[in-house]
Amino acid sequence: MWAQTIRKLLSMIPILLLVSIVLFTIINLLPGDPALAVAGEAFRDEALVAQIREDLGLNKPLVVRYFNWLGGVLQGDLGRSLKSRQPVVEIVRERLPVTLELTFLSMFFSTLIAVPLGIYAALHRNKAADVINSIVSMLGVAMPNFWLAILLILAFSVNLKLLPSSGYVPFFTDPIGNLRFMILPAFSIGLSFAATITRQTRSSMLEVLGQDYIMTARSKGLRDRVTIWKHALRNALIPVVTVISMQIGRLIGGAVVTETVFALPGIGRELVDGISQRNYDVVMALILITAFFVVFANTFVDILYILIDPRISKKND
Amino acid sequence: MSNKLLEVMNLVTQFYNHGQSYPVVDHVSFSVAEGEVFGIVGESGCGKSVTAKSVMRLISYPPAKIIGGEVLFDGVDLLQLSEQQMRHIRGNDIAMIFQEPMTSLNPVYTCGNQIEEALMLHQGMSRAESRAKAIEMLSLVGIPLPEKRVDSYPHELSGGMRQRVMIAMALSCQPKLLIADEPTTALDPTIQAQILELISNLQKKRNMSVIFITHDLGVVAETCDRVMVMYAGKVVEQADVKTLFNNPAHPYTQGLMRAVPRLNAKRERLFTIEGIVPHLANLPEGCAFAPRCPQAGDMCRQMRPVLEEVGEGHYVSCFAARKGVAENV
Repeated sequence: MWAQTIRKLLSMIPILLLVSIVLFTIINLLPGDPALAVAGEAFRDEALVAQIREDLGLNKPLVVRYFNWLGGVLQGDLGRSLKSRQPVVEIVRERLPVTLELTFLSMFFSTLIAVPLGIYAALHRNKAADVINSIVSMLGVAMPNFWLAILLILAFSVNLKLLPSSGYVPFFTDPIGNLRFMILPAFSIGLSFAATITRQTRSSMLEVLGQDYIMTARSKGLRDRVTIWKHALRNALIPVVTVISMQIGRLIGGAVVTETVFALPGIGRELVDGISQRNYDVVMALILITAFFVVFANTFVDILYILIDPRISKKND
Repeated sequence: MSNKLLEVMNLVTQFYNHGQSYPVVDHVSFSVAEGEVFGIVGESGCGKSVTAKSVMRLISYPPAKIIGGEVLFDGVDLLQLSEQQMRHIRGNDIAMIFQEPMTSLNPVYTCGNQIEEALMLHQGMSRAESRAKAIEMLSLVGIPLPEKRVDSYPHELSGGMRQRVMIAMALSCQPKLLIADEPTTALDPTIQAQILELISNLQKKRNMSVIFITHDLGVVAETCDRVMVMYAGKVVEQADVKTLFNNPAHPYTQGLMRAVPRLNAKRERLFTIEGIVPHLANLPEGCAFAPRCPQAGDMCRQMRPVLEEVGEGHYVSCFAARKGVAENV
């Protein structure tokens, strides 16, 4: 079990290296010259532009620049913003917690609601509650995050005036205020996530309930509660966990867009601004960090499998 | 042997499917004495398993529902018990083993855990006591290294070993009745023989009653005291095992006997009963077997025969058989 966990964690390294190579190459293939962007209105002054290029190390070969950049990243130096000359590490430190909080909140609460809902729907198959649940889930999957976000702002901020439409306070400054800002964005990202999880839980629960070992459990005289929560759920969760892991990337992507709608100071807006300003160091750092979290979350889920399903750990050891 | 442990009377279990409803167990009656091995024989879909599951009340609605009859166990009608009282019977007084050992055990819990569960529930044992008992049971059913196997997961064991674990689990609470639903069908022949012997030995040692469901007449001849043959949800013949094999009265039973390959017979094409089992939702008007029956007359196609005694303890539901018996006498 431990050996496997360590192996899984180590396997993150080559994946992230590959991501960094692809990322660096693509960014440098983008049209547009960061030196021109830095020079701003003085872009006609060729001597100045050449000087900037020299300062930024842009005239070195791509491979050399890659290794310089990677070397910096490994030492915790993510470069500087071309615009503000602020170290990218500082930007990340400011922005990342917002996005992480948003992603975590929406994932945590969606899962907390979706799994029991899926179980309930499976146990009351084809009854009214199940049908309503199916319709809501279908809507949830079908609605784009940002559109839902706008509708939520209209309903809860503009009309009902219950929640703020935009803005942010850090959690540790004002926890309640922070959550008030976070509810709507978290909900708009979480709904489609929750809908997917509910549907998956329902269908895998239904499948498991038809298995022979459920009949065995009932023939032992176990209560329905024990049969469902002990014997069925753990088996049903295996595919659910897979779906959760596949959705994590989408969730972070959704957070990026939704932050823009709610004017949350997360990495999303910084990323969009960075791309339009050719602020390469910022863009690369943010994408690399996002990739890190997606890879980490998936690795975490792989490790979770080992805990849920004994067949996995024994087979590989 | 005469004390009736289980007495099933006129049990009717109905299926509800796509707006149709039809009985899959149709007025089935039988009894099992203490220490007796009772066989239920028939081909797939004849209602053997549903009969057994109805006794355990493991039928779930939808699609199926027990709509009539009595199931007296130790004099108590199980069909009248509350779900809670019934749970106390299941696994404790009546235990069941199933056809598919590969899928009957939960893959995410250890064998020990699954045996201990019933012990802690019904016998109020502590975790340590139930674990010791689980090891004892595993060794009783002939699993080597039981102290080690108790912590094994089902996927680490072979099919035969898993069926042994199922038996250990079923017998752990000393049930008075074991229902074995085709316990050897999914196993290869050498393992089948071992499992049959194991069940047989344990049955004798504990003077337990067993309902043995099978479509294998060889298994019946080897293990059962009395047998009931089912066809299309109904009992067509019931007798002690000797009578049934020496003097089968129902044309269906006779057909089944002739369909068994024999070592000493000269080589020829194996006998088959022509046609297929009719769908239960769409039974013919008269005897359900009439369309396939070589002896069927007009009466068979118009009226349904009922189970009647033709010899001591020998019951048949067939017009032709009754006539035949009458002529012989």
